[in-house]
Amino acid sequence: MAKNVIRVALPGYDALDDTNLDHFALYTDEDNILIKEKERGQSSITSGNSVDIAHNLGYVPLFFVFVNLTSISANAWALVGLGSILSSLYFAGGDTSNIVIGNLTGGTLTFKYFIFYDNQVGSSAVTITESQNVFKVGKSGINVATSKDPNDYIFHSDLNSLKILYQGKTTINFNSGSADYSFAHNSPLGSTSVIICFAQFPDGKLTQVAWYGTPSNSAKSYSNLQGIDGKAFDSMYFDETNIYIHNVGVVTAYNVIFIWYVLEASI
Amino acid sequence: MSNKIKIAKPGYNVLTETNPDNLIFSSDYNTLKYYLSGSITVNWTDDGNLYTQTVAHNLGYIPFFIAFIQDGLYSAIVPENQQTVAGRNYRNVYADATNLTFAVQQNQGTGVSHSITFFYKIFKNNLGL
Repeated sequence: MAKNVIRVALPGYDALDDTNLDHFALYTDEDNILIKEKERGQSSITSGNSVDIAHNLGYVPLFFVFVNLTSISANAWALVGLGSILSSLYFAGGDTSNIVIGNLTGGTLTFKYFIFYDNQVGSSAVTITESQNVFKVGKSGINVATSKDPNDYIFHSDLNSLKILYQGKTTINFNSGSADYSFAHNSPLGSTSVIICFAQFPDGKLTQVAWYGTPSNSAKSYSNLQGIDGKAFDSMYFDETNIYIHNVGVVTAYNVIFIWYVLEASI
Repeated sequence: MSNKIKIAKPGYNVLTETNPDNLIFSSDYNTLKYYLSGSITVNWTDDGNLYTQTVAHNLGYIPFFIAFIQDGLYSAIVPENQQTVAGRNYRNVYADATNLTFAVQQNQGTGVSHSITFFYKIFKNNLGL
C-alpha cells in the first residue's frame, strides 16, 4: 500500500508532479522536518551583565540570538555566537535549561532571540499542550494520535515554522586593501528581519558567514585554514535594506558568492 | 483565485492576515526542511595544524546547514574564527555538493590535545550554487 503523504506546493508549482523540495512549503514523502518555534523575545541587557532565558527543554535547542548594533545604526543587527572564551564583548550560548546572553560592552544592548523545539545538542522528551484542533504530520514511525513531543513531528499547526521570505544570491568582488561592501537583501518586509547568510569562496567550499564578534570574528576560506590562501573577510551585519561586509585586507582581488535567506520574523 | 493553505497564529484572522509574522504556515512561502541531524567529534591539538572530519550528505548540491559547537558550559552557532593576542582559535564548517567538513585550528601555543563536538542539521534546501 502506498504511503499517505501531504505535499503543499509553492505558487506556480504542481504538487503532483514536482519533486524539487525547494518548490514545496511542505513535503512529507520523507522526513523533511520544518523547524518549530518555541518562543521569541527580547532582552535589554546592561553592561557587564548576562541574562538567562529559560527554555527548560532538557537539551540544547536550535536558537538564534541577534544583537542591535546601535553603535552602527538604530536598525543594524547581527547574529551573536559564543566567543566568551575569548572575552567577546557580547555572546550567546545555550545549555539544557537556558539560553545565556551576555553584554560586556560599555553600554546597554538589546538582544532578540528565537528558540525552537528542534533539538540541536542532546535530546529529551518534551510534551506540549495541543490546541483542541490541530493539523500535524508525524515523522516516520510516530503515532500522531498519542505523541505530543514536537520533535516527533515534521509539522505541527500549533508551532510556527520560519517561512523563507526571500532567498538571494550575489557575487562580491573584494578588490581593495580594506573596504566596506554592502548589497541589498531585498526583504519584502520593509523592516529588519532574521537573515542567515552563507559565503562560497573561490575554492568552492561554502561556509556560514560568521557571527558579529569583537574581537573580530571573520569568515575564512577552507584554503585559508589550509594555509593555501589568505582569503577571509569580517563578519556581517544587516539593517532593513542591506547586508554589510567589511574586508580588512585584500592582496589580490577575488570573488565571493553570498547566499542569504530572509526569514519571516521581524527583528 | 489560487488555492492555498494558511494557518494563522492565535488571535489572527487567517482570511485577512497578510503579515507572515502572524502566520504559522502559508503555502505562499518556502520553509527550511532538515532531514539529517547529527554530531561529530574533531580531535585536535593546539599546534596550528588543521584538524578535520567530514560527514557525507550526498545531496548533489550544496545545502543549507546549521552547526553548533559545545564549548565548555555552553553550545553556540559556528563558525567561530577569532584572532587575538593569544593566537588563532578557529572552528568552522564547510559544505560542498557531497560533504560537510568540520574544521578546527588553534595556535595558542599550548600543544595540548583536545576534542570538540559539532552538532549539525543538514537541510534539503538547495543554496542554488
